[in-house]
Amino acid sequence: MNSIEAPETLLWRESRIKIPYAWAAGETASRFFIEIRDRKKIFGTKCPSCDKVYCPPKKTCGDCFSNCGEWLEVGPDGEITGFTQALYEGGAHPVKNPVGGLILLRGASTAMLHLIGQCPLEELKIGMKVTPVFKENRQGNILDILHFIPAKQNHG
Amino acid sequence: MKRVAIVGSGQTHHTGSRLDVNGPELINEAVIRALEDTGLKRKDIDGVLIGNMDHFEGVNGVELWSIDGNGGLMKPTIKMTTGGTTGSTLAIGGYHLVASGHFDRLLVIGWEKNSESDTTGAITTAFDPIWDRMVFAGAISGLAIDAMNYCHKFGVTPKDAARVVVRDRMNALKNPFAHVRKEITIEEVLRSPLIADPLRLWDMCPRTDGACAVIYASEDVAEKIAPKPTWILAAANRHPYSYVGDVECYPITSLYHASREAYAKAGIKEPLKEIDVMELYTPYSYANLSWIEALGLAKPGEGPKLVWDGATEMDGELPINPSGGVICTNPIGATGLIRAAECAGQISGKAGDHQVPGVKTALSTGFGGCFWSDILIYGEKKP
Amino acid sequence: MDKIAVIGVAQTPFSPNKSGETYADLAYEATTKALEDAGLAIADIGNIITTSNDFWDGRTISSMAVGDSAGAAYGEGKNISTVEGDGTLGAFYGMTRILSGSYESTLVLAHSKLSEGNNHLITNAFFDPTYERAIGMDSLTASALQAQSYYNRYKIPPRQSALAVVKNRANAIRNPNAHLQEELTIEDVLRSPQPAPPIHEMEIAPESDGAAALILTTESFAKKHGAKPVWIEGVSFCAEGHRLGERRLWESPALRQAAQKAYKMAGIDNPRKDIDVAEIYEACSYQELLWSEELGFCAQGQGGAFIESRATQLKGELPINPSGGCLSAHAIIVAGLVRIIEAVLQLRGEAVNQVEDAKRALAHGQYGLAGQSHCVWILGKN
Repeated sequence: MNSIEAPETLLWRESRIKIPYAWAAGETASRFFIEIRDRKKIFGTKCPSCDKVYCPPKKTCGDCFSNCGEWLEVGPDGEITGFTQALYEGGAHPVKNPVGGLILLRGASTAMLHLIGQCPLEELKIGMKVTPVFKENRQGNILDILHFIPAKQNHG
Repeated sequence: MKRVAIVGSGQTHHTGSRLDVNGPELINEAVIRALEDTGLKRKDIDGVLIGNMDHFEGVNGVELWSIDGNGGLMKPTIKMTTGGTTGSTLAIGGYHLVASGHFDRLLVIGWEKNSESDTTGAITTAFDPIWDRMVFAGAISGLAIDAMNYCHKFGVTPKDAARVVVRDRMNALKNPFAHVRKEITIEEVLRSPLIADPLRLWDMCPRTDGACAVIYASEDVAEKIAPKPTWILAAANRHPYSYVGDVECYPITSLYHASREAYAKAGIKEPLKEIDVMELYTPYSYANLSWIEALGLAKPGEGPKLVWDGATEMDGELPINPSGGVICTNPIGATGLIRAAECAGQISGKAGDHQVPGVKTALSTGFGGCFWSDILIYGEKKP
Repeated sequence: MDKIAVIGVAQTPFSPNKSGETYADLAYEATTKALEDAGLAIADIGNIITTSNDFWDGRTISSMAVGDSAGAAYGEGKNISTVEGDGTLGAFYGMTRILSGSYESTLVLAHSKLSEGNNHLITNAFFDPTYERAIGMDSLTASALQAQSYYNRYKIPPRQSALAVVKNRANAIRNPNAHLQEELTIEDVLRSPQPAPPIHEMEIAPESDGAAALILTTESFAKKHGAKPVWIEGVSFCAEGHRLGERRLWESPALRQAAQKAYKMAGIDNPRKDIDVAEIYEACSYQELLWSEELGFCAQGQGGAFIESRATQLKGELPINPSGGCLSAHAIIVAGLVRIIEAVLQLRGEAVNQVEDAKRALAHGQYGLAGQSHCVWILGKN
């Protein structure tokens, strides 16, 4: 939204779309989140045709159109394949100036979009090893993983 | 320019809430059934056309988000949306895209998970933010005005309206994919809670989670895919209004003009006699009376008589809504496309327990927006 | 394919805030100007396609706002439908409605006012609500991931993508419809803040308000009305995977496929030689480099060297975005339709920065996060 500068003769009405949503995670994502919530384990699903391991899991491989029924534990550590930081204010940001990254977990074929923490942007590198920090109080959603941090920092 | 046929379809088992699947997974169920119905594989499909109503699921770019489920990965994938008419917009869109010669086998998908949001809240945002939105809520108030106006003009009664609910509910009992599958009596309809005078709870369509996928094929391949393709004979529509205050309720002008255009294209002069079955997007009971007048099936005010005489029953002269119609199933973005799938099912003889015998010509409608209408006419003979 | 002509084009001026005009006003302005350009009246138009998006408009059934203005209620009413997505896709559907034999002409319209919504929240809604949305990304941070991936893979120096900004903004100076018109240096671009590294503020397409329309017809209709036609020689579109984490972000297989199909239809073997001018949709500067590769103008990884070679300058071998492109005016939804319109003006010889003797032009549209979906048009003079 640009800041509105208009002469006094032009009016506008400010509002917002106020619609509550409850998105069904479905059986596949529910199982993924329950494993994280209850056991701090991260799973992916494998396509029986192309052998790709999707994490986050998919029910259907978009390419082969096969049912990805096999569940495999992946990670919990992985490597960064891309990152950026939002250096501006945004209503969707979970924290101030979030660092968003693509994390390829060990054993997975595709990267997961998540937050990267405890590392200044200048020190982040593609290929850097990272490990997840799980929240204490987990509720069954993607932010049960607080963020990923550089692997070496997790010792002790 | 190619002639176009529907060669197969798939629907989900429509229901009030599908917590076990997300949107792309729900879509995939209908797509898989449509592929199975035709014996085609994803690789045979040239493109995907999909639609829903954005604010019902709160997902921007649904054609791209659902790409793993909708079959469109690395294919031309396009979205159309026009509100309630979305499903029929897709049915018409599939026709033009294939008739253009750019696609031989097109997957057309309509879907909605109405359980995931506040349907009335979302529909309210359809109206103009400056003029209408602050003073007008949801879809039902507009429909009530239409019903009230029609009753006042012709002395039509709530009992007349309840009669079509009984008909559609009976039909839905034989459709395994219908959402509301429960017999009802006229008295039960009349005793149900008043929502917006004269509309009562059971005069209205339900809120449904569901998806429908239809495969369109060009004349070059249609007969190789399906033993009995359903040819599209005509498509027409009218979306004339932008503001609620502009709407003329009776007769519903959009349906009147669109149907006359479609009849002319298909060479139909007496629709009641020449069309064998209709699947109408009638989201409330009274529409099943006044809109069949706009379609030219009965003179003004005589829609109820046609219904009471039994002409629109399964064994009548022109069965309407053998599937149970929108009164029994309404996943909005899919609803107009389900009408097309059902008409194709009737012509190809695949409608199962709700098959009308000997269907040669069928008609479907779509309704939405600001009293907008879409029409398609289908036939067993290649045009 | 039967011959389809573009015989009328129009755009409103693009600006940061058209608070004096509603969507309907913008649609009416574009519609009437396009009719005037084609020498037609609304009565002559066979059917109408509008293009809009319910999120950017803050309105369910966003098409409802502009139907009247586009002629939907004219007479006993006209057939009308709506595509949600980039304007190039609306134009594609409009074209098929003629090829289907149903109509002789289609009016294609697109509108949007980015000033009225919050682009960050609207594009956050492109992400999956269960797995991704809570991470808080939007179209800009998605593009930043793609830029980083592309730069990293091919060692593209920042100055090469900044060149796209310098070139396009300079081209826009003569374009009265452009939103941003300024002489910039590479240093100006690289000194601007980085809201989402590695992307600089000046490398991001602005948020504009505006509308555009074009009129498509059959060959016989174009002849009958004595119009100045530009012909569609090829068009195709394609979408790739949704999750950023499964895409090879340094490339765009969807664009490659759409381009190859469009080239095949148009009989183009060597796009760099056979195309005289291109209008491509870049939401951020790096995309002009990356899309150039996938359009086959240069080899993979050579997008930076290609722009550095000055081949895409106004007087170069293959001028790209002589209008100033999306980096100078960017009303999402409308932006791709404007690319077609600018290509048509080039082929008519009426463009503000006219490329000499342009006979064949490419127009490109994209949609979704980091260019998930692409549409490529080849237009010809003869």
